[in-house]
Amino acid sequence: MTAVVPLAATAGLLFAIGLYGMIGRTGLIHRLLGANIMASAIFLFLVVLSTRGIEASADPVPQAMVLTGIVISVCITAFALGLIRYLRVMTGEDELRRSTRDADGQSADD
Amino acid sequence: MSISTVLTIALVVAGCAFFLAGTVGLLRFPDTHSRLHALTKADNLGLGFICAGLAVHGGSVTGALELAFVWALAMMAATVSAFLIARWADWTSDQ
Amino acid sequence: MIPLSPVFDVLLGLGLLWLAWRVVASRGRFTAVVLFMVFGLVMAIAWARLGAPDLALAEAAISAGITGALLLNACKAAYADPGHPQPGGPATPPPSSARRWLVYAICGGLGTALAATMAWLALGRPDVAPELRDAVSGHAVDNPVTVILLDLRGYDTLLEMAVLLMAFLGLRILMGHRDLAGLHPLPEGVPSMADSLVAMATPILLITALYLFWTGTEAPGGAFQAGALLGALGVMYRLTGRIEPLDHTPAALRLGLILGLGVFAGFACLSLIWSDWPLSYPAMATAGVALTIELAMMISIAVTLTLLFSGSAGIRLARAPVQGP
Repeated sequence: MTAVVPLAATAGLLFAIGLYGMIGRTGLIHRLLGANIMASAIFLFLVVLSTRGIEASADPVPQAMVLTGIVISVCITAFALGLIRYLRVMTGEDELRRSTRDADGQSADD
Repeated sequence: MSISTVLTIALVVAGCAFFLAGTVGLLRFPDTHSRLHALTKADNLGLGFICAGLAVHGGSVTGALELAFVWALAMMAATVSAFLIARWADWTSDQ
Repeated sequence: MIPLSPVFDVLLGLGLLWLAWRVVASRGRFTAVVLFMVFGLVMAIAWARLGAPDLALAEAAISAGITGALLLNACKAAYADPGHPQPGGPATPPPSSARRWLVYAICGGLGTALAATMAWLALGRPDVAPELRDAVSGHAVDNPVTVILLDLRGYDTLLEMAVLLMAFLGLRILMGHRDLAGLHPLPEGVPSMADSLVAMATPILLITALYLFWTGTEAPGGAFQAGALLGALGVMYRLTGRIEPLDHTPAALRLGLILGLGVFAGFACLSLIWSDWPLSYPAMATAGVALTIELAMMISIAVTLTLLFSGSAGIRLARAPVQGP
């Protein structure tokens, strides 16, 4: 039905915005936020695709899957933030550096 | 249009007007403390109006009490948040 | 779905898009994180609009609340603390403009294609399978989402509890190698207003969480939303110093961490007694068994989320609460 078309199109554009956050930004927190936005976009699309009509409530199976997905994305965020902190403590960096290797293949960072 | 619908619309529009005023204050005021004034006072009053409008629309006493509880909780959280933000602003401006 | 005009949908969609754009395109981390929390709340409105109140509750509590707290904690050193050393090393050179335009082109093209395809897909959808409708309507538990979570797709939920445990184990492994910077101590002790708020919020959050847990079998709610509320309570306790970090995990906390997964897995094995298949409910006490599993899951979720936020191996209640001005 045409009532959910705006939200479906929004989900597609949100995915692209999240993707830009992941590949277009160098700061790690921004990349993590981009990943979360991509996840939200997919969840939105999953539920939008299953709406029945004006009078019915949403299909319970995608709702349950998205609920699982929300919890999993918070777990991923927590672990990723731990990794980011680990990177900060080990190297003092906030971004993933492009590794510099000379002609012998030895990395200059080691 | 029954009287309750008119009342609901009037209350919700008043709430939105207060939120708009709060947002204008957030954007236009010069420093943190005056912005906190705009946020806490205007926004909470706007929330109160919207809750009142929804309570009228819902029609049940239980729903009205639940909405009043929501408003009270939001005000509690906003109070402490505003206090902590103002305290932080003082602390960083003293550095 | 609530009958509303498409103008609301378009405005909601534009709001979501603008917020997401500001999140990925903003300069500072703090701005991005705060806008992401707002994005989570507007997404909760979208869930309510689509007729999914369980998702709205979960999105507001877990995604906007817990994830926001985790992110703010992680980017705290970058903006607020003048005494903290800034990350050193030369900054990466900004990407060349050719690369930037390539990224824009990829994302713009993908976005347009996805939006068009998703809008076209949204126009025609099949109806609910009749077997699903019968299974959901004839169940002892009334809330269809809870039926799906605990019974019809219980295996997914079992593995989800395992994912929660793995997130904590992953953090624990990282902590074993280096002393990760946990929360910075507050500069002059905890202000009494924050302490009073936490004191007032404790009974409210406890009652609301238990209510959401109890009513999850009939109305929107359930173990995840309740566990997230209790986790938020743990986060507030950690922030105001009522909970202190430890460098080892006490036995009670270990029990709390594995309780959800353990009870669910134990039920899966025990159900072979009264049925041929694991993860099947007994016909007599379906609602009771479901509530027991949800209780174990709620405790586990609360303990795991608090430990994930605390960033330490264990926690304990503070001996003397820290009082400030």
